[in-house]
Amino acid sequence: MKKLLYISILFFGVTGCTKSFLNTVPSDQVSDASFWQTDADAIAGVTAVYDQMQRAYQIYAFTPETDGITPNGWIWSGYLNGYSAIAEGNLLPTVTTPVADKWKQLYTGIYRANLAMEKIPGVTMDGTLKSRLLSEARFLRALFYYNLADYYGGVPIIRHTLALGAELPGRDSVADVLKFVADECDSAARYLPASYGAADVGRATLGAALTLKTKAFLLGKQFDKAAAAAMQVRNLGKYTLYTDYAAMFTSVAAENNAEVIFDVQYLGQGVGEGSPLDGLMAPLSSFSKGWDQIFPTQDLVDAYEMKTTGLSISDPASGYDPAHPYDNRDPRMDYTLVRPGASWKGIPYSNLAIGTGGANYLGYLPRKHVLTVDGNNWGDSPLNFIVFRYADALLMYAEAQNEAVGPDASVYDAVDSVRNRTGVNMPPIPAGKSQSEMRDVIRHERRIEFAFEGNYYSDIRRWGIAKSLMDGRVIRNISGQQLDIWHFTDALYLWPIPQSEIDLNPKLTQNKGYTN
Amino acid sequence: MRITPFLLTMALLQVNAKGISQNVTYRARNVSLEKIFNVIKHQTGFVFFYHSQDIAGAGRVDIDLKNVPLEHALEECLKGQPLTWSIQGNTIVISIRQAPPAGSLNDLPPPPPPNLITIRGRVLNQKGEPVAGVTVSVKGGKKMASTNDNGEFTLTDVDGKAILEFSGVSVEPYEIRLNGQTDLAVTLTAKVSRLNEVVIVGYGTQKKVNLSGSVATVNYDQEMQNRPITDVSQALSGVAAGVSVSQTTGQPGRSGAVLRVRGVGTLNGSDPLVLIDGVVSSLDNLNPNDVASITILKDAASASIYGSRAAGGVILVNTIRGKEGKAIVRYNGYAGIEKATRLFKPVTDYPTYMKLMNGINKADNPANTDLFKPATIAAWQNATDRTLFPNTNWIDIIFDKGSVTNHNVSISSGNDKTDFYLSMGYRYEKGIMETTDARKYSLRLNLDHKLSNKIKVGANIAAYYNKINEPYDVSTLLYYSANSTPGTTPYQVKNGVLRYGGRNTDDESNNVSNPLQYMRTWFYPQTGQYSFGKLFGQWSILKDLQWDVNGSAEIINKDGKQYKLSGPIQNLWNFQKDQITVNNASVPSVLSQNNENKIYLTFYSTLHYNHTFGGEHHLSALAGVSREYFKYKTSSGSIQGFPSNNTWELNAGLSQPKVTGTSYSWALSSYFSRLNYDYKGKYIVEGNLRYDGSSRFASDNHWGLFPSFSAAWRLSEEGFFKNAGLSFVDDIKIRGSWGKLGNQNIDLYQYMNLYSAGQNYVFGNALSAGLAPTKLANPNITWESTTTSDAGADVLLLRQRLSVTFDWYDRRTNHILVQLPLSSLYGGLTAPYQNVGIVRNRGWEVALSYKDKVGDVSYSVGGNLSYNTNKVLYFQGNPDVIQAIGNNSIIKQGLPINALYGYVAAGTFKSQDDIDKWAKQKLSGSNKPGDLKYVDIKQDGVINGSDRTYLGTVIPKYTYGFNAEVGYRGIVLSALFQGVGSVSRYFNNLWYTSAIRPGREINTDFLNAWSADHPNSNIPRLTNDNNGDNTQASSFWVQNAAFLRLKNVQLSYTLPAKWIRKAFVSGLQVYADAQNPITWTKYKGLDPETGTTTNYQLENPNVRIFTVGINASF
Repeated sequence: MKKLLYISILFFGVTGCTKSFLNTVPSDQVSDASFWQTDADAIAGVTAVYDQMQRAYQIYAFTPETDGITPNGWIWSGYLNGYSAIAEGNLLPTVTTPVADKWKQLYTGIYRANLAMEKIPGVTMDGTLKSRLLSEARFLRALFYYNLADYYGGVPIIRHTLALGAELPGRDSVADVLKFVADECDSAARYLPASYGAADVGRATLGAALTLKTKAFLLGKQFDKAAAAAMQVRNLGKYTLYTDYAAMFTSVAAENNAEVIFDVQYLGQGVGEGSPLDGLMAPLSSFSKGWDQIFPTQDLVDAYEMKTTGLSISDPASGYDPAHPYDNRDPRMDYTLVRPGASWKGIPYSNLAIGTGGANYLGYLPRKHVLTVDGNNWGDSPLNFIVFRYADALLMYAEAQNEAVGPDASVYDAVDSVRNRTGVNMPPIPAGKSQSEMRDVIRHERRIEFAFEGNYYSDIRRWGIAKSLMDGRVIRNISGQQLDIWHFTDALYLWPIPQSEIDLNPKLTQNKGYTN
Repeated sequence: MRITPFLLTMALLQVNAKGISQNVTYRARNVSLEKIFNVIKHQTGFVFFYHSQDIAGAGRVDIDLKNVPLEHALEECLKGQPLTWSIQGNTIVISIRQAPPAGSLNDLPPPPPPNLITIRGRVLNQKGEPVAGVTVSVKGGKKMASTNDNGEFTLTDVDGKAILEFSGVSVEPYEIRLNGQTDLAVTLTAKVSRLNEVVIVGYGTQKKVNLSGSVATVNYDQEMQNRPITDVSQALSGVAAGVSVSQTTGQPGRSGAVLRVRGVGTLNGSDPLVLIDGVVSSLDNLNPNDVASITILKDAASASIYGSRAAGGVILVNTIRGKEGKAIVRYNGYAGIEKATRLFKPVTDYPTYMKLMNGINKADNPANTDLFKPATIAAWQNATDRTLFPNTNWIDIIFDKGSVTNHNVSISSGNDKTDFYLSMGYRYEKGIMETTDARKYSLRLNLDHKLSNKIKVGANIAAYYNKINEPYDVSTLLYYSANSTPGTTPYQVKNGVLRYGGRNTDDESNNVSNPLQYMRTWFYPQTGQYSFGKLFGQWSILKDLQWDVNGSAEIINKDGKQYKLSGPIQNLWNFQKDQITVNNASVPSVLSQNNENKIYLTFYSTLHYNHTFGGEHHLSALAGVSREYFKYKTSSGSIQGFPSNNTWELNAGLSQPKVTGTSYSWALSSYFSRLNYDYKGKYIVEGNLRYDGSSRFASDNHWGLFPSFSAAWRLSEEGFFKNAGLSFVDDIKIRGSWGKLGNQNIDLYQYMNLYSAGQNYVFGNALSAGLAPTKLANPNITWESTTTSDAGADVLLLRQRLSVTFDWYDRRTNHILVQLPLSSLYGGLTAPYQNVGIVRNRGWEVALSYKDKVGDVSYSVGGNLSYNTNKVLYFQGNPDVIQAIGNNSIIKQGLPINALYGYVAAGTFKSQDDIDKWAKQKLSGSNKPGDLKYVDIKQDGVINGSDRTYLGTVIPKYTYGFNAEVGYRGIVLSALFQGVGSVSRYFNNLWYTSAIRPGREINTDFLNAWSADHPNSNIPRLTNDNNGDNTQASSFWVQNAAFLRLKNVQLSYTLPAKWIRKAFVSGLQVYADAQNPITWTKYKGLDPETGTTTNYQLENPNVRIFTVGINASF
């Protein structure tokens, strides 16, 4: 027996103890225990909130593509099938892209902001920086909620991170969400600087918070408050209209100019911080082999006024010559799109059209968001995407003031300053417009000024005119051939709450007009 | 002598076949013969028959036998005694050595003087190895001899016309007429007594008759080694009940075989645990020629000694070890060709294609203009120059014949101290795709050395180096093959310059790809180095107690480079216009290179105790510990812009350098034990216990306990059974088992809240690092546990010629780790794994085999059949919430895992009227005649998501295999069939779809699609519209994937030994083999065995291989 005992001791002695043996930890990730200790951690945590704005499709990366579900553009399916289906009137709550994706990415941003706002107060760091970072996160969270309200209406306002197994709330009203956004902008505005040093360009500013507040009021039809907020932006005195409209959307050199209030920053250079927009919008024949996903319509082309008269081409007095349809038009047309007779990157239109899928489909190609220089990989464009620019603030002011007060001089002034911007120089709006006429003028001006920037889809829903513009619309190419017929129902003014979310949280009610 | 049969019967009744080998080790002085016989009986299982008065006169003897064959032992102990012996079946008969008869015979006339000669010979087994201890005797005479260690014997003064008889414990009896030959080489067939069969089990071996769990063994013989398999898992197809193997690709160097033991138990990796010589590994690390035996542990009782990773079953492989005796050198080589089992048939006549596309386009919208102008079509019809006006069959361009070559040399040798087995292998396979090939060099050394009588040490060393060439990305290539048209020319050489073809007419889409260009200009060479070393020691501490210590390291290094040639070679040409139609010349070239390194360290140590009490109670016990540690490292880099097409190193690149890399590790620590008891080999009980600690879980949840119990009753050993007169029954065993196993196959660090890097942003035009969690942690996560109950029987009948095994089982996996969908309100985080879900696999298996010999013809037939039903018993706790997998399958309570799910197609709409009368069907567009119509299951007048239903299971209900073999004088013909039944497959991909786009191939299967010309067709109309209704998941795309396949057929001929002996060859076999030659199936995809998980649901086809080879030993 003694022998057996020795053997057992030897046996288990050799095989040793294992407590630490089983504690392996990841070598490329930081755990909860070691993060949120220093100011660098706080900065990195907030950077991750900004990062969320770059997500494809859902937040801003694909926003201009929504012009393809307005009379401005047409999407030839492919990569953007989800949007095409919307234009064709088929939007199901079960659709993942874009409906469930956008919802999810926005709430991811909200989660990251919540996390930063919960953790940063406990970090030992400089107080000013701490307040600023918290306010940046607060602004971004408000921005994400604004987007949710814009697309889905009222949504649950989540102010804290949720633990596994937590009870999930139902929807707040759209008014509550917009009030939350406006209030949060006010809170953030207290600590956000009006501008940053060179190394921090791209962070949320005071102007950004005020512009977002304007947008929230406008969406909530609180026109007096919207006008006041827009006036606050003007009164900051920081912003002017940029002198080169075309370059603003096609040139890296024009980035972060004085018209930009807030944008999504991109870098390119193969470091994972590039924009996919260039690749989606550029023609197939471009160096970076674009995908020709979206095309300006004849309808948009026809909407550009005559330069000299400032009149619509349908007006006999406009000076429009059907034989030379592209002559003497609002210069923004040629800044926005490629049409017959024009050239792109030095390639004449005729060569672009030959052998490229794009022009064959519709006859026009977009210019905005497509670099005019070669050298970038597909989906890795360095061009920033402008979320808010000063022209928007001016036109929002005009709209809000016209609705709240009527077409006073400040309204004319705001609209004219945009029309009259350097390089565009359209004639001023003739005096004597009624409130309703001025409303149409402003709507037209927004459509033209922001064509292919992703504002129009939100605008036509906000104005309640989407159905009349979209339903039954026949899409034809430049030679009149029918490509598509669009449909729009009342339900489509909002997207459905994703069915997958309702399945997981029965308190979520569906938007009107959607069943599955 | 009349009493003999009776006594013989009595003796047989007392057979206690408990011995393990047929060798004898015994050392004693001055013992009686009876005592010796008793010892031999215990060690070998052979019983003695003798009249006690015969041995009464024999004296006591001194004896010293060390692991000698039974025949030697008998000779030794009867030396100098007036006794002789013979073996009849399992009985050794001892009788008085007869003195030469005298007297009356002398009165007969003397026989003619025989022509007396001296015979020398050598006896070999079928592997060409010498067989020692075979008794060679002259038929009807008294002369006999025994073969020595080299299989040699000498007989003097034998009649030249005599017949020699060969007999021995381990060989089938054999006769040969001398006809004056003096120099013999005889090949004998090994005799297998199924009662003595020994199988490997967890951490040891056991006699098959004494097993109480459900264990399958694979007869891994010469025939198996002759098959052109790349991977041992392929050898398991169809050979064992309850084991299914699908060969998912025919791509060289990629094994792709998916193994399942008794269905799919969980959602997280149902791969069985594979151990090679006791160490966890993978079957593709093994040279198929080195395999000695394979055992599959199917139920929890046999597998639970492997605890936390055994839920998917366990496959134990032992490799060949050296044997004491003269060195044997073996060579096995084969070569052959391979072809796809099946390929798609595209429309290859371009005018037909163009007219079809025009028709589709017009049918979609009458206002559409023709895609292809009449002039273009006419030009093709009238043309003779097929470079300018091609009708290309891209399938023919991409796929061709492949080939395979294999050489394997092994040496096995040993003396009383050291044995070794050495093998070297080379295999080359050229794939059926032009730029795919793989070569592999492998070697192995298995060494055993006795330091003393009590201590043995040894080593297994194995290594390989392989090199695989394939296109940059095979699934992209296959995508390109579907993304082309017959109107594209593969290539042209003009003025000595190679150009690849694009579209030849502007009517064609400019998006058409040239798969040949891709295949020849985009590359992905890879190399892998594998090294494995295991050292072990064995100490027989006491007579019944043995300590084993094993330590091993497995190191795998792999690297691969992906790059493409750049410059004008990437342009696509319109050969008619002689101009570039797609200019890619300035697209920068990119190289991405990646390295990965895996280290897997194992240490385990066991104590074995084995004792028989009172001759009838046999107890064996095992205790052990094991530690495993795994570390994975990877790094990769990429860079753009290379100065030439010959400098594919990272250093040569110009711009956008990028690096990534990471590493991770896990560890497992275990304690295990087994207790096995049997009474007279009649009642057998066994218990196993394993305690596993895994680093994959939080420290509170590291440890799990996995018990199992089993019992067996050998009914045939009972007196009443023996008296029942069922003499055709040799053995019956009834067994039952219960046990619990674990599964820890989930991603690492699931319990930790982690911040992922890379959530970066840009400030001030510079990169700024961001960190954020990307998944939600679940600190409570723990094992999945699988409980299996098994009841079975093993029966041997008809003098062991027929064996039958039956098993019924119920396998339930609890706490299945599932990533439950998580509301986005949690922040869009990846859902954590949670222990929810129960899946049951229930079924039965039966295996039969029958072997016999009629005259010179030996034959065997065998078959196995398994039936398994898979059902999700519980999922998420809410039966109404379903989890969609992809768009066509579902995990739902009451259905099999990943059940096919969708609409039930009821043919096509024949007219607008038909559409109007049908339930409102608007899933993604408005319908037209020719669209699929779906059944309104809910009967609410609307076809929507709630009308989807169960469409079939992807887990086969039946898997079966059967084999037959017939041999005649060295010629052996064998065939193996494999099949599955009651299984469906969702098949809708670019090669099999009604969603046609310009610039895409059309499968001839769809020529009969609905159209105005085929108004009765139930194949939906071809369309390039956006209407996705026809490609919604529906029963139209669900196919019967049942198949029966002639998996292997082999004809071999072992040359008579006398023909070849002079050529220094001791054994020579030639053979021809066909792998996958015939398949019977209704499935329309490439191969019913291959998977459907590639990016574009396009598969690299499976292959048929035809080889011829030789097998020689020296």
